[in-house]
Amino acid sequence: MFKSKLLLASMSSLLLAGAIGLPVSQAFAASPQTTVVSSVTVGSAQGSVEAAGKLGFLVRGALVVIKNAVKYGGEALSHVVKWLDADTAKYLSKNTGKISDGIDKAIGKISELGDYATATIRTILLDGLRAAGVPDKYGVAIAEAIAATVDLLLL
Amino acid sequence: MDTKIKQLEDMIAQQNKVILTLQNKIELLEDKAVRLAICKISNGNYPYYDFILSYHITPEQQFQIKRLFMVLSEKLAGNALPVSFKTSERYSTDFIYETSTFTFSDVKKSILTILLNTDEDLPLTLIKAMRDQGMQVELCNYLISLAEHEI
Repeated sequence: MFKSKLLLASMSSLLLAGAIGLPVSQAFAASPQTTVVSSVTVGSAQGSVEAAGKLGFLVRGALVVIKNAVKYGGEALSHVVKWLDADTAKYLSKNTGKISDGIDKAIGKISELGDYATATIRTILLDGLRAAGVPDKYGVAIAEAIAATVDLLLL
Repeated sequence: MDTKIKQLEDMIAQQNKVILTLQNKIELLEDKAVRLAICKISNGNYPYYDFILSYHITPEQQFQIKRLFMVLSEKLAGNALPVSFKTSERYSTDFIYETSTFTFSDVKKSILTILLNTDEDLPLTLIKAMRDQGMQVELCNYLISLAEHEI
């Protein structure tokens, strides 16, 4: 499931949201009030260079797909779970409400026209999960797994 | 006009002082973090985090490795591969798009390029640490078995 299929999946999310009675606006959260976070290409002390960012509109779409997969199941969830140890995977399955709430909070902080490096997406997700009550013991791994899945979906 | 220029110069001088203070604090924090990573008692549940700390793997390198492993996982499962991955990385990913399955040697070269390292044992250490932390277990076990056969 990659960028072209992500668009189809996003449309399916919209239809699903409508079918189960959710306001369609929840499928793509309203534009945030926060300032745009831009990524820059920098050279680190080790010589590695940060990759160019991903467009906020696409990141939000990918996060909606993942959020719906967390709540209702789907291919995106399998990509996330592959990165989780058994204990964290169990926490995720028992706390889908908190996790999807955390993802919603993260979506709210992503500007559609912004540029986001994967590490920045991870940080925003971790903040969202913390605000939703997910302890760091699980939140760090879950945020990384979701950010990596966003990365894959937008390839 | 001269007053305004002087004010701007003073502001710039102040900002430079703040930047220098922050740089010193970052250096101090980095030094503390490095020493903590060395002297802390390792938690056996997090061997991959240990690896990241020990080898100072940056967040960008971590995500490059994750991207590689996710695409390898799709290849192993016989699923469609993302076309853009052919050209999106700093290393050659041609081996993933061949009809034959990948070799451990190909994956090792990719990991070493990502980590900017020449230690030939490092990739297998990374894969075992990832597997032992419960991440991408199926793929890691497959890569470890490939490595054992290639020795």
